[in-house]
Amino acid sequence: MLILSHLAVFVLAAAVQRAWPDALRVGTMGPDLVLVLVACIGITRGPVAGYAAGLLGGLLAATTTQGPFGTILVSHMAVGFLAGHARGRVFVDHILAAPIVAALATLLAAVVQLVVSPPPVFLPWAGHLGIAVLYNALISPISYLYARAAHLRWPARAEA
Amino acid sequence: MRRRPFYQQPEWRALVVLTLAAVVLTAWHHKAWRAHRVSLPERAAGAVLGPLQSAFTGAWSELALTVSSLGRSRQLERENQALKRQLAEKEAQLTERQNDYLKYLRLLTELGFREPLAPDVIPARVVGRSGGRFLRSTIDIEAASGREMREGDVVRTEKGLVGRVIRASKNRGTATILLDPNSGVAAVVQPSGIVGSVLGPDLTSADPDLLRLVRLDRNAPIALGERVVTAAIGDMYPKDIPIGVVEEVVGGTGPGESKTALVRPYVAFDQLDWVEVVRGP
Repeated sequence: MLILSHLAVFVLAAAVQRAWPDALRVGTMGPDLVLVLVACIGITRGPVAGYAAGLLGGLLAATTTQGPFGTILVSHMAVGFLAGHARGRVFVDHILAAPIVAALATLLAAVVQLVVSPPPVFLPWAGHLGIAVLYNALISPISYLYARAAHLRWPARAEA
Repeated sequence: MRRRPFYQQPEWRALVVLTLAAVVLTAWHHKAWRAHRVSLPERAAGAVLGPLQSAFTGAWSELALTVSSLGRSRQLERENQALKRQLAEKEAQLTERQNDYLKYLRLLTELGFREPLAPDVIPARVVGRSGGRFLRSTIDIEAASGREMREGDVVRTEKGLVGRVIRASKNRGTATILLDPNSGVAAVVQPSGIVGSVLGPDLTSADPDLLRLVRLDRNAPIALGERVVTAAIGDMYPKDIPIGVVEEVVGGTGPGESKTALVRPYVAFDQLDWVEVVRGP
């Protein structure tokens, strides 16, 4: 059930992200809902679940963004895995940690992109990254609340 | 107690399996991409996401309309009356045009000509777009059910050229737009008649919305404000679709150096709601 729930939410997030209304875009930028969801599942569920969420999220993001497929997959999986390693630390159990984790996840995904397929010019790219960090941090509590609720509803076997 | 080697731990096994899955998906994507196709997992994801995108876009439009109309009921009433008057006038004009058209058909028959075929035009709604300065390359479009799109169909608005359908599945498609840095369209400048290629914007420039009309002769008499339209070269686009207006001309100063004209597109790509899909030539 947990997998089905995550699958449905990921598909919904990817569709909403791609169809994000112009009125809610900052410049041409909308939030990266899928990436934030990957990070939130990672910090609530652990590195393996985060890695798997990164694979699914990366596939959906790559399908919808037309960017370099491998880079998107790698960045999402790295975010899920590292967010999973942060799980269990005191601060990540609070909802206010969600914006911090989302911001760090956005920066990490951007670093992967910078290394693997760098943008043609740095400064405008950095400007857009700044917007993305803030926007993702802003919407992250919703994803966190979902990930937390799903984890409490279907706890991992060792924790049940 | 002796710790088990990492490859016998279930977490590591799961990570290895997931990594292998990622490698397989990437290889599958690239294999399909080289053959100008879309891999099965991406097609499946696209088939699931398409209807959801459409539903979300429709719901948002309804919500925005409701919210904006709440505080403007009096103004809307006045606008409604004005629109009703305009509609009545247009209907009268339409009846007149239909009579003219019937006369035209009768004349064609009497003179022994055949009616020229009108291009097949499908109206389609924009239900998704890639965002960001470096990813403004595609839009997702959806026509009414039963209207089928094909790869290669031309996408335009009443203002001008938008791009071309690169992926189509029944009434849904993804189109690359002129702002894609990799796009290229054979074009002609009017009225000077100079022919060149309109490429996507230079992302390193200050204004990433300006298209580039390249490979112009350094002595080409191109002037600011001239219209750029599609040329009858190649089989990608029909001719005479407006693209934009020449806003600046750069280069052409050194010996052998060609000129580049910067073209402001007629279409506002960030505000596209509806487009026309025209069967490709």
